[in-house]
Amino acid sequence: MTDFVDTLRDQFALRFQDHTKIVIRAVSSNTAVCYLPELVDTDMLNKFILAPLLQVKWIPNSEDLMRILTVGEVKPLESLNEAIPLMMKGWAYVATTDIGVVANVANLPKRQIGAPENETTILGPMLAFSESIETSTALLRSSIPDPSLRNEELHFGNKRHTLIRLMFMSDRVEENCVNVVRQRIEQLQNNDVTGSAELLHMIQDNDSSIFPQMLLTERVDLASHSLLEGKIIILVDGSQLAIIGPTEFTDFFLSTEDRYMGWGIGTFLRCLRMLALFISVYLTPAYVAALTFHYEIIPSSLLVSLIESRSKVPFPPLFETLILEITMELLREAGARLPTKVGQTMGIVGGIVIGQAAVQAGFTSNILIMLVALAALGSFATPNYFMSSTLRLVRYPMVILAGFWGSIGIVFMSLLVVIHLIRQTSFGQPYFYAIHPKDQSNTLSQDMLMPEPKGLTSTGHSIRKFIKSFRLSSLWAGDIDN
Amino acid sequence: MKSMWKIAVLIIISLCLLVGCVGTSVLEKLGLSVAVGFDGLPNNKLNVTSVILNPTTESAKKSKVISTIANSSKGARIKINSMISHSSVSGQIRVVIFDDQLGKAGVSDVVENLTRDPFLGDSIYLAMSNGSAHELLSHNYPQIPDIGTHLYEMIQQHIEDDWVPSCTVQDYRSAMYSIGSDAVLPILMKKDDSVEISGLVLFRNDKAVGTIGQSEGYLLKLLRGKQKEYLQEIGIDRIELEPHLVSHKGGKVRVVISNIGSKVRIRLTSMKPLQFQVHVHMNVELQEITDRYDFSKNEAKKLLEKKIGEELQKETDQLIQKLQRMNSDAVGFGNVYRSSVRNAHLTRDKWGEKYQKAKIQTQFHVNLIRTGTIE
Repeated sequence: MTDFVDTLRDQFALRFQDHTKIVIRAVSSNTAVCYLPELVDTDMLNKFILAPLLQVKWIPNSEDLMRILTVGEVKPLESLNEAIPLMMKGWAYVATTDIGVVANVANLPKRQIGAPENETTILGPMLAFSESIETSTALLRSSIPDPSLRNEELHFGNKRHTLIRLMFMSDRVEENCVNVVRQRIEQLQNNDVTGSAELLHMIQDNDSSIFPQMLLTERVDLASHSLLEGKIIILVDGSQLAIIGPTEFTDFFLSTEDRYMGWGIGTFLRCLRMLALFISVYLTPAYVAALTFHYEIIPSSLLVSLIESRSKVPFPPLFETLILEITMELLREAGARLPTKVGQTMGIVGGIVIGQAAVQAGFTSNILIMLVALAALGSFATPNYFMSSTLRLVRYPMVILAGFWGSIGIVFMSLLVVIHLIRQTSFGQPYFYAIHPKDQSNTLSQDMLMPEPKGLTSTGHSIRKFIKSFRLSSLWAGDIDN
Repeated sequence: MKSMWKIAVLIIISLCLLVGCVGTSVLEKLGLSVAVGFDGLPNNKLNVTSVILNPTTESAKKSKVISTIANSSKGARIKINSMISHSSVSGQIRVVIFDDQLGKAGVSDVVENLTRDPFLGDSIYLAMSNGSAHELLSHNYPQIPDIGTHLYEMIQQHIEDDWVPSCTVQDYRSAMYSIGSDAVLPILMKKDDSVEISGLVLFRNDKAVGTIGQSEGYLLKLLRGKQKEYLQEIGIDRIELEPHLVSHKGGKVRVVISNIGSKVRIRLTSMKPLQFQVHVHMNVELQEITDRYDFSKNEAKKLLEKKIGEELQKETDQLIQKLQRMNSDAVGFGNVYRSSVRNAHLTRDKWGEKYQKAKIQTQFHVNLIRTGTIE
């Protein structure tokens, strides 16, 4: 009896280099159960593995052994090497002299399903993904109880053995997309990732782009809605964020809440966010361009107050704006790093004190303070955190070019951004879909949340038809009615 | 990929070097002139007055006025430039004023040179001053912090909701260059410590030939089809309205009407002799009547409509005759003639002769749609 246990202990010691405490419980002279105590559920282990094992005398083969163990997941194994990764995940290894079986009695640390903390909405379900991939999968499965929801498992990394799941609706997804994703993940076999955010950057189409090419969400309703739209969800074990792809540029400006609000308010909110996009990118560059080059375009009613507030400022408009923009970024960054309560106070104190003092000291003009604050608000109105950071980053070259060449610089930079966006793809699908290639489906009316047609006489139907009749593509094709 | 980066870096570096080539004009370093006045002097010299924005938080006055005598407007800018601390620019000019001397001599030279400069827009307002433009602009108005902006806003307001026809450079030039219409500009007059629009000046080609007052200006804008809601007072003889008047006082009955929608149709009815028929359909609202009038009967309303129409017609006929006497086609009968007659081959002189002899009949169809809440 001790011989058998000693051999096992030696074998484990060889593989774990004796650093890990492994419990080896001998049941009989030739049977033992091995597990890592901190990862297993002891109750389960006692009731469903140890108790049945102690009642039998002789185990002829692995089938019989598996029949005895009253645990849901059991697997026969060829060698001890296969058992180790599973044991590291909380499985128990039942070994006899010639056979080995693993059984899942894991009790990994996990938390309760919580409410989304970063993507808050006022309406909508309060469900967020959790770090445990099983919980996340369960959440998705329960929200779409349909057999066509497929679930592919991939393993990733050579040290962490991270479990990755691709989930998609097999009847709605584009097969090419799934192949692309699968291939990309398989190519990265030997890298290690800590979470989905890191994985996202490894599998994105264009590494040098600052624009996010996939959505990252903690909201279950957004993920399940995307599934129904034919998108792919990637879940990574240990990460509470799900990756959604392929995405279009406009997806980053849509919030799930728009759907709960009804089409009128929803469309208004989406238009508001589009406006916010332009405000956040163009407002401060326009100020710099107008004050440095195009004094002609300033409205006459603004002239006096503009000159008055600018007359004390010692810097040219470009530097004035850059200084203030960077101050704003500093405030935001410092606020984000501090604990919530301190962060809030700092934001207010920083905003008011620095803003007020900067104007009084003749450091900046008060009109610019307002514009910079407005631009920051505009970027925060974007529901996606990645996209809002990107927009803030795009603003800097825009401001600098505006200071160098005025409106020509703004146009130049805008063209660069648009060209970049048009060339961009997400999982091989066009990124700037609504604009290029020319929209074939009804993305516009989807984005505008027009009411679904309930019957032929419903107003929604006629509004859709009405809008469609103005679309250039349908005019060219000559089919207005479909 | 690497070579692409190299090219990109090269382009960025060269673009950065190009930065020096772009001339900047930073707002606070500019002397922005908002209004310019031209006074004609003997020997083709001009006295140019420029209102330059000069806001400092300390002083109530937001502008300063600089004037100089020069041969041309650009020559004046050079001289003005040497008198101020900032560089003088013309991109914010909103109002250009010239005095009556220059108006009588012809303003084309000034206006043409203004349009030659791309910094001056087409929507700058032109106006004539009654008296010297320099005096109008340089007077120290205690109530007005910046005379340039003040004039701009005043003219804009009168054009948008009042009796002044649009008077931008674009309007002036299009009227001047089209055979068959003449330009109309407002007259600005300094009255103690304020400025008012005292009337309209009528042009024949580029020369001022006469002026009309405010109520005539209203009718002119009406005939041009641009009149918006605006109050007009009309005097009707007491005898004409006698059957429906309740009270009996002396003098004329004054009726104030507000035009809430009008349609003007000018038709060429006969070539020889040249005859035009002007139909004006007006929807009016009665705002005020100085006597008690009985609106309960339908005939009473009809009678009042007819009398208002007749009164307006009388005034319009007088206005058109006045225009014909001055030979200024401010309404644009020439354009109607040209669009109705094939191969008209009209020249300015030919039309001038025809216009003065033309017989123009007007007819007003007034529709009184509201008489107020007292019924």
